[in-house]
Amino acid sequence: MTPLKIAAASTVLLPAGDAPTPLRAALKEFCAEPPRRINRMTELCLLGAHRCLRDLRPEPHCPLYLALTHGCVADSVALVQTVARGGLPMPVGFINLSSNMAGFYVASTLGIHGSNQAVAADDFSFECALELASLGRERGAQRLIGAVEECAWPLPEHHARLRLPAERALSESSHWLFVDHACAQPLATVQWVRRYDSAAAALAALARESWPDGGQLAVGAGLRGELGAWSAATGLAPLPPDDEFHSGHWTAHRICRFVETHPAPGLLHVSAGSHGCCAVYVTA
Amino acid sequence: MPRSPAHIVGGGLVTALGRGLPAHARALAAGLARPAVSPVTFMGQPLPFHFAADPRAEGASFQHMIETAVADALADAALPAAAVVHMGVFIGSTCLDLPLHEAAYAATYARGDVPAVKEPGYGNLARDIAARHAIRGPQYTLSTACSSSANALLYARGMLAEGRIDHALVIGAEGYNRLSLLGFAGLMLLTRAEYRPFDRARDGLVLGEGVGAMVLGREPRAGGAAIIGGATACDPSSPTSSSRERIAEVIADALDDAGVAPRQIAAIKAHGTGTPVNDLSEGQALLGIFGGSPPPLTSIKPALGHTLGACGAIELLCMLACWREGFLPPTPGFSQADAAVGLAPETHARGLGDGAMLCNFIGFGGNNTSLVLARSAGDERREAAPGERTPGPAASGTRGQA
Repeated sequence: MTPLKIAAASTVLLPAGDAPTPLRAALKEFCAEPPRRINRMTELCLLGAHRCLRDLRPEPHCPLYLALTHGCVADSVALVQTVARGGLPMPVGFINLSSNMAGFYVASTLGIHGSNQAVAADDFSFECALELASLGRERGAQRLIGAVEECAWPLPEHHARLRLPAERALSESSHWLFVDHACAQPLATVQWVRRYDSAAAALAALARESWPDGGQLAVGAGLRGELGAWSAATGLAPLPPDDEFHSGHWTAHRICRFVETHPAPGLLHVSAGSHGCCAVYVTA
Repeated sequence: MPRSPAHIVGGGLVTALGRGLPAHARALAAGLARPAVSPVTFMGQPLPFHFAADPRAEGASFQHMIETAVADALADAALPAAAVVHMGVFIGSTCLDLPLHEAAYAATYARGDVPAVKEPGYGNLARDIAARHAIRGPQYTLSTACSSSANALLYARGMLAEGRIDHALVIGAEGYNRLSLLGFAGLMLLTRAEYRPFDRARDGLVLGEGVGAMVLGREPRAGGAAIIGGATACDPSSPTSSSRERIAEVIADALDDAGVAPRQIAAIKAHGTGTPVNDLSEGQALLGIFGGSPPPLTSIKPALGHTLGACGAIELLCMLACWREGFLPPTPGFSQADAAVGLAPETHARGLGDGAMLCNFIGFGGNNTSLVLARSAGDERREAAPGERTPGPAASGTRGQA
């Protein structure tokens, strides 16, 4: 795949409390006139995307790839309940339920009109977004890639919905990368995304690779118990697991955080899921 | 990206018109629209809907439709098991697994013991399909309103073209659910009379459900067709409609991607939602590209219902089914041209020969996608054999500029 040169990045990770964290004020710091009548998913998207770009203005044809895990779960819950109880969905609420609407509002506020894709995968949503963004079919040098996840309140129901224990802390997130192949001094480069049939196949293949001294290794939820073995096999320094909160977008968080801070010459991130294993390699 | 066709090597189709491509060709040739009455009412009136299955078994019907269409597509492709294992799975859907959540919650909410939308996951459908068929390749779920499965086809082609996968299973899936039906009713987008795209008296659409599944590969097969180009873009000017300029840009980009000039387009499958605004924008965009003598045009949504995110895969397979039989299907319901639109779709099946076909898909969120379909080289059935029966008479209907 064509490496993705990253010109900007941003991570937003919000611990979920008893009530949703108000986002409007924070959003106005980065987006002067946020649209009205938008849902929380769109607010999270706008906050992350505009925080990532700040003063950068993407070219008009810049495509946008939004990785989703649970998508618009809060609105889905509300509207399913409304309809089941004999009510009618409000028109704006129904329109905003469309998965590409958050990307639409990001495009609208940035004045871009390239491809706008909402992409999901059971275990590898962000990796999928990176893969689609690296296809040569898009015109122009830029791509905007995000990974966004919201919670639905009340949280005890959301815990039950996600089959998580009640004591597990939840979070919302909005992580973004701005790719610009014309960038003279990229913050980092996503060198590749690779798929493997299994974790064992991935380990065997990646252990044969040469990695930079001081490179880091992070693993996803499916491999946490094997971090030591992976570190030993690759020679990469293990990053401690992100256990503080539940999040469907730890891959995006770690990669975007690495790009923001580039604490090491490279980061290998490996996740395992129901359909194999996926690795992403980023260099500073 | 190098121009590289994605060949359709297997197809499965389940809609209100039946199961399989031949059944769809026969039904589409007849040019009839026969929506059923749904159990859902709006302002005291029952809402019409094109059911593919029994609405009393909502969740189960949706899963059964998916399973049937996917199994048919895989059987049609007849790939070796080793190829199936590594194929990519691409799903385009607006509802995703909403029919299952809706049915589950409706059955249990009165007890108050179940949260709505249990185990949410936009990738759930793809995961389950892959698991049932022992497919371990990458999974991509694209949800971009009514262009969802058209985008799934477009990106599957991109992955094939760059050699990242050898085959793709692309599925457009949309199942009956009350939320979508009431949502469209609330937006006043459902017709109060008859579904009639591009007609002067058009006043909205009728929804439908269905699943189209196809296997794409890099090698052609006899009797098949290929996606030879495509493009997608977002019109950020309105969440519910697109401008003619942005639609025209996407069409032009798709033709350029296919390496096809407008004069080489043999027919157009319009998105043709039947809403006043969208048909006007699409018609004017097409006139902008093709000028005063556009190729024959059709919208088949009145026969199928608007299958939302599934319409990309479903309508492409329907067009392929008809093309194999040598005809372009008519647009049921159309009778009076609209001078403002400037285009009139076919009212009778008409003969369709060589060339390429433009297929448009337009969705909420300004999501516009165009695909260019062509018959594969070496197609054994391009010309009907003497005496061969074709369901579509090569008769002339109204066509071209109104």
